[in-house]
Amino acid sequence: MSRFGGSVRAWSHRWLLIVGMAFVAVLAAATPAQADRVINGTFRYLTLSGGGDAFYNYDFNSQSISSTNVDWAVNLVFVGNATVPKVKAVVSSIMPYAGSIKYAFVAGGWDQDRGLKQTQGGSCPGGTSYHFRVYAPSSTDRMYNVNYGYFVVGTAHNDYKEGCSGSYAGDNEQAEAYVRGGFDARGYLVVANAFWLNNVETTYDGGHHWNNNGYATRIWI
Amino acid sequence: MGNPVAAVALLALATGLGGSVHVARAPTPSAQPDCVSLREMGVDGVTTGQVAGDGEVGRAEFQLPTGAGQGPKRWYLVHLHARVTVGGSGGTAILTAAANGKTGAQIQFRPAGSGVDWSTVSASEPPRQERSSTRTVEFRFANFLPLDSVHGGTNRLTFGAELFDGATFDGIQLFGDTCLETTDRSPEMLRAETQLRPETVHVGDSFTLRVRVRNVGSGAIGRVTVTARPDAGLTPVGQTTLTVDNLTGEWSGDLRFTARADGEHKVRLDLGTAISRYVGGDEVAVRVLPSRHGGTNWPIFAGVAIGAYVLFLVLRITHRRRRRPRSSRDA
Repeated sequence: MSRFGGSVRAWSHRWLLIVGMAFVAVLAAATPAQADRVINGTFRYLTLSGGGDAFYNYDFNSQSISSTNVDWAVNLVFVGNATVPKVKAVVSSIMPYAGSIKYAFVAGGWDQDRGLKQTQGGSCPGGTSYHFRVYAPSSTDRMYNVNYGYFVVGTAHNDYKEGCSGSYAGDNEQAEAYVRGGFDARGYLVVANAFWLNNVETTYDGGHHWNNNGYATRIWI
Repeated sequence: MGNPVAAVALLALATGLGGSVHVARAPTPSAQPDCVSLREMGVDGVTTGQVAGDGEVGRAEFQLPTGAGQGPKRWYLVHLHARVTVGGSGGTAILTAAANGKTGAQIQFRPAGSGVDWSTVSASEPPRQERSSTRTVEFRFANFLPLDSVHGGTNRLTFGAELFDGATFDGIQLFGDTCLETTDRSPEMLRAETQLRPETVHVGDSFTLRVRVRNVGSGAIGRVTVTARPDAGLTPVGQTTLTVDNLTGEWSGDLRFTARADGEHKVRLDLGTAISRYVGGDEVAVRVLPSRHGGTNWPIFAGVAIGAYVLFLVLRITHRRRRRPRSSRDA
């Protein structure tokens, strides 16, 4: 057998094998898989009571409701006789600065707020700067619920060393406690962990220390 | 239905700088049935002069039967009829009404040039944002009192002023027909359920999201709106908003979508009423499989493969025939 002829036969066998395998592979890939149940969400329930206004349990970076667009978990609910300006007025002396604008979807519309914070970013070396934002429809500055009266919601976090080396944002529980303490010290009735808002976060990365326990503080205004 | 609210006492006061108080003590019947007026409580209205600081501007007392409370079968609403004149060049002035210290009415005023912007929020009527061309506003407002705000025995209804950033009330007048209503009509209460049909979706398929809404309160709900906001991988087929008027029992509506991309996508549902644009929502996850066309194309792929194999065999045979004479000569 010539070397050339032997090579042709070898290549023929290889090609035969390759084409055969490709054929089998194509058939296997093209055969539809047998699917199990593939849709989640059948019969989800939501129960609403009291005729109250609803809100999302996070605020957002922009006016887009998406789990990938959330900023901070709601961890403060001001009830009783609350409005956004009234709430801010209570602690404006200890949190005199404003932050960046974030958004919340409340009572069917968007609100935006810069919030109040302890220090301005960029004042290095910096340190703890608790920051909270308060939301309600911008046209009315409050919502109503028969259970809790006139209410607004808020998010709180720490802009630690903002604009400086070693900065991060987060510490939600500590920030919530700071705001709660600010109202408590001024005679308002506060209850930690009063509302379960199902927004637990315990993730850490270089720039964020998310640590929300899923419960919000209730503060009577 | 008998009226369980009984006026038992009268006490009105006014605070403020240079304020005057007008109280008529002759009780007169309320114009509304089951709504006990200030007059029936013995207070024929409250009138103040300028109010420059926070505080109570008026009060009355009423009595409820033993065991009374806010809900679930009997409900109490405050109906406020007032005229205010707002002073100052900015800030916010708030008029409140509270039962036993629990605020059930909050009307907010902001001076705006020669006029005033004012707003209300309530569980019994849509929110209002209005502008008056003058500094004087007369309005009527109603709202369900908060839970735990009323009880059997003597209850106290108070009216107050709160002032921020320079706003004042130059005058407040609470009319004598301001009243406390008793009703078996509850605040709006809705329950919603969703169901996907079919349960398996492939890219290119259309599917239906059925929304079932139940009025679980007492009394018709004027308008219920269900608005769907699907992810980009799902395209609405037809309307994305369902509405039903005067909902008393249960109602169902269908929303249809076409799956455009595989993976998990969500349809967000917003539920609103005429009183509150957003009273809740739900997210329905839809897992979409690759296109069925990917499965139905397999015979084409198989045919191509078979064709390639046949071509290979033909070429191989042809090649052998060409090689054979050359091999003979070499031998």
